[in-house]
Amino acid sequence: MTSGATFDIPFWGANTIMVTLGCAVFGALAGSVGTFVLARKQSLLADVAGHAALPGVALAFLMGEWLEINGRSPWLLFLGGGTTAWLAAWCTPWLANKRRLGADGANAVALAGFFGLGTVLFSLVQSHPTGAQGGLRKLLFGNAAAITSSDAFALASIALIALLVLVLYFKEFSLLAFDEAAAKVLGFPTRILDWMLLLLLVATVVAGMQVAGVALVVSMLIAPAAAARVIGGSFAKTATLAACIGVACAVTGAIASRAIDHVPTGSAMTLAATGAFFLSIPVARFFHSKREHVAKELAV
Amino acid sequence: MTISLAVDVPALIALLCALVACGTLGNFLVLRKEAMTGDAIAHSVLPGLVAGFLVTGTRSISAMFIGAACAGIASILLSGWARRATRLEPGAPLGIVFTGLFALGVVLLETQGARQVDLDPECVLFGSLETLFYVPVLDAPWYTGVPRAIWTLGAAAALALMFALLFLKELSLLAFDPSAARHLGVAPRWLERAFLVIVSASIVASFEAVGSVLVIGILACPALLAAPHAKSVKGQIIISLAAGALLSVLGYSIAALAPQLFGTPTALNSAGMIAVVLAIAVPLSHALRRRA
Amino acid sequence: MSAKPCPLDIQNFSAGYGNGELVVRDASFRLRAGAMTALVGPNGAGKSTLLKGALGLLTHADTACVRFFGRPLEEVRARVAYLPQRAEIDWTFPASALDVAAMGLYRKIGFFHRVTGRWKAEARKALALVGMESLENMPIGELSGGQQQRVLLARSLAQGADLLMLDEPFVNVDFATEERLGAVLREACQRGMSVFAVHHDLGDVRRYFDEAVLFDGTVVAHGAIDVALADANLHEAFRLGPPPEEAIP
Repeated sequence: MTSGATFDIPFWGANTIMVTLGCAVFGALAGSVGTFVLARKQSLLADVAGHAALPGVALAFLMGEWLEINGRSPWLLFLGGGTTAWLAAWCTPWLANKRRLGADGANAVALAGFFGLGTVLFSLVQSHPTGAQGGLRKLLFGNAAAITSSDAFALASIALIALLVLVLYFKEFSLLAFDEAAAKVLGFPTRILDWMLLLLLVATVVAGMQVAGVALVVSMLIAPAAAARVIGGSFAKTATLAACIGVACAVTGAIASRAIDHVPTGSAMTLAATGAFFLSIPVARFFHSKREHVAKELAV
Repeated sequence: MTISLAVDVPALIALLCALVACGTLGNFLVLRKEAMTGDAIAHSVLPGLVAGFLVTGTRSISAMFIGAACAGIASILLSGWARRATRLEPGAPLGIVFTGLFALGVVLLETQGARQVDLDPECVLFGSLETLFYVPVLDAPWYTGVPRAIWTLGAAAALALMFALLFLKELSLLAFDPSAARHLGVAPRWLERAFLVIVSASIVASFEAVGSVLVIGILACPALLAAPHAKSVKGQIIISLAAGALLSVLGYSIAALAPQLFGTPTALNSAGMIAVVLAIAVPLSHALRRRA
Repeated sequence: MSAKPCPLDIQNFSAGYGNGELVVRDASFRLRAGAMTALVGPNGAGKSTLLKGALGLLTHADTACVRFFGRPLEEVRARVAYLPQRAEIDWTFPASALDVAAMGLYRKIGFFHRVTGRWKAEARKALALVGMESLENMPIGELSGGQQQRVLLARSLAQGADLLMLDEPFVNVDFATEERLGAVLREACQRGMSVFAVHHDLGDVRRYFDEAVLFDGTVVAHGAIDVALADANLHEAFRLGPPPEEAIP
């Protein structure tokens, strides 16, 4: 089969290709940022940040309507969603440490508060004359089919910038994730690095909210990274592998949701990512036993 | 604001029942530092609910309950197994398993025709407090008009409260020092499993009415805001239920009143508003304790 | 009763965490009744695993090789008490000192019964034995580290234990507290209790304990402290290579 034949299938329009590419870049970002999220034990914080984008998107839409600019411009929605997601990612550790709720309690409180606010604001949006009636469901579970190529372009550019930052500061970020105290002693600006990592998490949430959905974007962050971590290797190798798995899951999800009616993109991506994680356990066992076998032979 | 007997009273009763069902057991989850387990169960029960519906073809309560309880327990067992097999931080396997199950539930719901019924993903997230009406039926006893959700919730609340009271000391020890509880034989395996089953049941019963957003809120927030003021587990449960009830009514009233104040025509989502009020109250309650 | 039965008898015991690796391999020893025995060994030697495994708190442990007072654990649970590491317990838990001491009685109280005045009196008696009766209504979070340990000890006494198994009781307490805690344990011993504790500090083992089990995945030596912790044994357990006097031919 030639590649031309593939493109003859009608649903491969220019728009679809652009959207699938956007999903792929998002997958790479989610996988690699997820490696840091896992290393810093922030999996559930990522869940909170994802859900917390909802009130921001609603606010951005309402503000846009009020100021009579296009409330559906992707950049405006990114700005709104990003702001509240960042606020949640910042205030959850504050609640956990300064208010002694513990990580677990703080996550639950922030999740309830921000997502609750999101639902309240969305009940306002839906009453709006131009309100996005079906828009909420797309935002919750993702719908790649509904986004335009300019949306895809916007999310891909955010994801690309974030990926670039991640690659540029990779060794500083890994030091921070591995041993924050050592990073501080060595004179790295841990505060700024910490904020930058949070911003990367927010950028991932924002890039993923239209395709993976705010309720499910967390799985694209942690499942590919966890799978890569289980298989093992150095930190850089793990991050690269996680990015590859992320791309595979995102593209699989995008194509599957297009091929099968009524399947939200985010659900398809999540199922692929969960599958990848559970597959990684036997794969890792297999390699592990093989490695042990080799080690034994070397010992003899 | 006028209180409408047909609309506000059923909604408030449902709300308070959900608060008792989830809030009581939420205390033990919070004491065990497992508040997010409640969130995980709330997401994971979805495929079980839908499967129960698909198998029987009706919204029969028992089938959906069995399915949901199975899914809830499966998520805990599965994430526990994945954690032991991978040695990842506990949040990661939990997050992967519950989002995976939730995604499966959404797919089942969207593809399998269950979406033609009023069980849809948005309703599962946001609840349908606003749709609980008292519909008096002519020539029938008064209780025939009470929405079904209220009966379910009432039963769940009674079950949760009874379970917590009967096993108060065992559940407390299990939360305080699980190894001692197991070693002394005070909290056998079946008690831990029964706890999970009843938590799942409370969550399922609640989230049809109040939605999973508020379920997370009422599982964790009342217990967390009572924690700094309580001297015993029983005291914490009492404070959490009392404060939770007050704040829920406050949140409900804000949702009902705000549109009139601002002159917008639509009602705000009351479940979401209650979740916001509860979440804001938690850090305030902790600040109050430090001041004292 | 002629000779006291051995409080803890472990023969060829192995334990792990179910990933194929054994943390404890083929451990065998018998505790002396009425003595204070320390379980000493390098970091990661599996001391806590040995303790938890013997108590059946791990799924992958060969509990058939473990006998308490000559019986399987199931028959004598009440006579064995376990104090986890301090960090494993949530000290912000809403409970008073008396509540915690009463927890040792929960098995006797049984399901569906409340903690009535009679049980509270019994818990109070246990608190008095460790000198904590004046603080019985204090929330546990407001007690000092040593007082918290004493409350847990009172819980074991209330339970009616004859064997006390402790995981690092002296970690994170100041010197004065350590001394007092040592004295309380010694007193319990004199009442006929046997004490078996994981201990990390080789320097002060002698100060508190009578015997030592030197452990590194398996038992390296066991006996009176001077015998068990002889240089040759320590060098083997801590993998320091052969001791200097042997190195010289």
